[in-house]
Amino acid sequence: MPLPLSRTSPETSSDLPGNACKEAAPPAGTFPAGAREDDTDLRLDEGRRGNPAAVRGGSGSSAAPPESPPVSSVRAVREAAVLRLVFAGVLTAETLHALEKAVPDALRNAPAAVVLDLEGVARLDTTGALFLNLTLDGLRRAGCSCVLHDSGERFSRLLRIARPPAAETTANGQARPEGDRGQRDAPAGFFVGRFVGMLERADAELLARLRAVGALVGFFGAFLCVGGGMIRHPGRIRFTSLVFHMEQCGLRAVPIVALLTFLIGMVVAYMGAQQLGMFGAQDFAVNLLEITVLREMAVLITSIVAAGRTASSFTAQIGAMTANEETAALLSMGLDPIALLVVPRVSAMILCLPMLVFLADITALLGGACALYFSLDMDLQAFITRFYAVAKLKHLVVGLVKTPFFAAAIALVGCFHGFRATRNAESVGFLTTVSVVQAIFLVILLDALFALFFTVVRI
Amino acid sequence: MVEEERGNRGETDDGERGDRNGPGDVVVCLRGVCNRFGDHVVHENLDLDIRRGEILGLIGNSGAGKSVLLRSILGLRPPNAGSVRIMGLEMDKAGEKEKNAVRRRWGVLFQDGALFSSLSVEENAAFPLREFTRLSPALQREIARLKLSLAGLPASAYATFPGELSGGMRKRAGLARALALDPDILFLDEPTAGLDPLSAAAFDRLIRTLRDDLRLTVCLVTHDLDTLYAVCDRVAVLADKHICAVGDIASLLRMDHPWIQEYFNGPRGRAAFAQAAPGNVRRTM
Repeated sequence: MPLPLSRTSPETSSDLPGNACKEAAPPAGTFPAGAREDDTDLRLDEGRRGNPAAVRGGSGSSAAPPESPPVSSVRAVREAAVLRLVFAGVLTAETLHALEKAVPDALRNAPAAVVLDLEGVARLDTTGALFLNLTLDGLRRAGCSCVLHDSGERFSRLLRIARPPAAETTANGQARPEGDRGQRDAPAGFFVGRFVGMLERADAELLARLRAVGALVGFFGAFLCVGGGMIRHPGRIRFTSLVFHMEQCGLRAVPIVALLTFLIGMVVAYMGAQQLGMFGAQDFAVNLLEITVLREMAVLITSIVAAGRTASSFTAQIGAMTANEETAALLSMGLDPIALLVVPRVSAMILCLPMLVFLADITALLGGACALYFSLDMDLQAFITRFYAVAKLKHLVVGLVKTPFFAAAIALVGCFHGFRATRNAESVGFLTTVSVVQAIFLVILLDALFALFFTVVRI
Repeated sequence: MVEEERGNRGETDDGERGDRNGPGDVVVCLRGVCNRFGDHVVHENLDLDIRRGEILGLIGNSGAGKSVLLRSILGLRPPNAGSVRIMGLEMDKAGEKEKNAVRRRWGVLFQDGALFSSLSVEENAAFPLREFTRLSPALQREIARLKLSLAGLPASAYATFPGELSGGMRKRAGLARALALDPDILFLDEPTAGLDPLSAAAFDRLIRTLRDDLRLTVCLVTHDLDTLYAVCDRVAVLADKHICAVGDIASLLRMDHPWIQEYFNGPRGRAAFAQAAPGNVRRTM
């Protein structure tokens, strides 16, 4: 019956500070005592070494005991001027982590000659063989004469193929530390270096952003060229695609837009009624509702919903196509991806968003009327009369005029980021996030610019 | 040990089912496997044995269900009926833990490599080590590099991302990942498809070397007749919804199954045959 093999080598403790053997040292006296004459210079753990035959016998049979997980172990045996590392058990990727600590520990004060003894090894895989080869190489570099004792050449084939790819490792191994050292040297200029590095990164980031803005503008230009061409030659418009995208980004958005704006209308009316009620002017809640909803709220809410729904789906669709080289295939056939993919999407959005916003105006006003009915007992008749008295057409127009611009911004940003995708699962996801954030940002930026403009021209 | 396995293979390379070897030597054993997609029956009562240490080629028409069969073996698509035994474990009855133990002992190369696109090539090859072993990152990297160089990737490719690689390089990187944990069985889905003839031939040699040096069992789905002649010990023919013949190419050529005759005696089959004369096929083993 084989011994339970220890995970690390307690024997190495003879020439080590105690911490290395702490975890692995079995309770004293578990094993029968007895010492071989060749390692009497070791002070500790004679017990384990007392029955090497048992260790070898156990591991010599086909594999580790089936009921216990396979283990690897190493024992350091000092024979005069030679350090003999006796490996035992299963040296595979699963078990090797124990040896990874134990072997360097055992070799710390290695004499000039080391023997790696593989007699007791039951199984070896390329990981184990590579580890042995690396150990040998390390020892040889340190000027140690070392021999691999593998009688019967059981593992010679594995050991031959599991050589570290020599030229390559040195090339890579040297390249990396040098790169690290470049940063770590120069302790005096450390902070200066950090600061310069920061500036460099900021600079690179800024340039990348500016370039992205430039690319977006260029994309807009390309869209205008192709779209303009289509207006001159209406036969080239792809109506099937256009209608499909109108359904996707217009019709299918109706429920969510209607619900959200209904709720927003309720909130605005209710808040207004409460605050104005303090001055006995609760009827003016209708004025407030009219201006807020028609000029800003319906447009903004709808556009933000569209940015979340549509910009993201445009990016994902076109991004997946780009990642799959479908856009490259289109180009190779002499077809213009902008005409095929972008123009229908952007036109669908430009056509749909005004309709959606008009619908949002209606539902928001209905929501407001509903809130006022419950909070002020203002019935629908009274609401309509009041609304008719105060409403101005220009507020509705101001709201709707903005929508095509928002629509174009949302759809263009969505499509633009789609084309930036690479053959990489992460890139599409990342670009989808970017496009939603940028679309919402652009919507709010444009809205602010419009507000400024309308204030200046006094509308 | 290697010699022993070779001996077994030599004896039984005569085209009959390999029950003669005893169950210990069959690492993958399919019995009565049926696969259906709705009304469309892909496999019906399919039997197949893969023996330890052999390179088995799986051929069949496009759409004959080779990939479905591979997915059934891998458990990605459990068969509608029948049993899949891998290294003695009945896959559809075994618990998740036992199945995971088996899954770690096989390596799979998917058609396009199926590399993780967010990891570099080296990280891809080290990924199974990172997940399943407790080795230090430095050693993991060394192992990954060893496997990548075994798979024939140049060092300049280690730090690149899969998106930047050519198709052949992705296959090699995928093979390195499949080899990371020293699997016992290697499943290759169209390993040489889309490679130039030189790379394909190098890939064939690589598969043989790996089998010989790492004592792998290899099951490969292929359309490449050169690969069949160059590396496969046995070839299984998937036609008429089941494996209609298994054996070395010489014995397949003697059969008068119409599809097999057409396959090997077509213009391409003859060319590949001329290149690897039957004597060579046997001798290179």
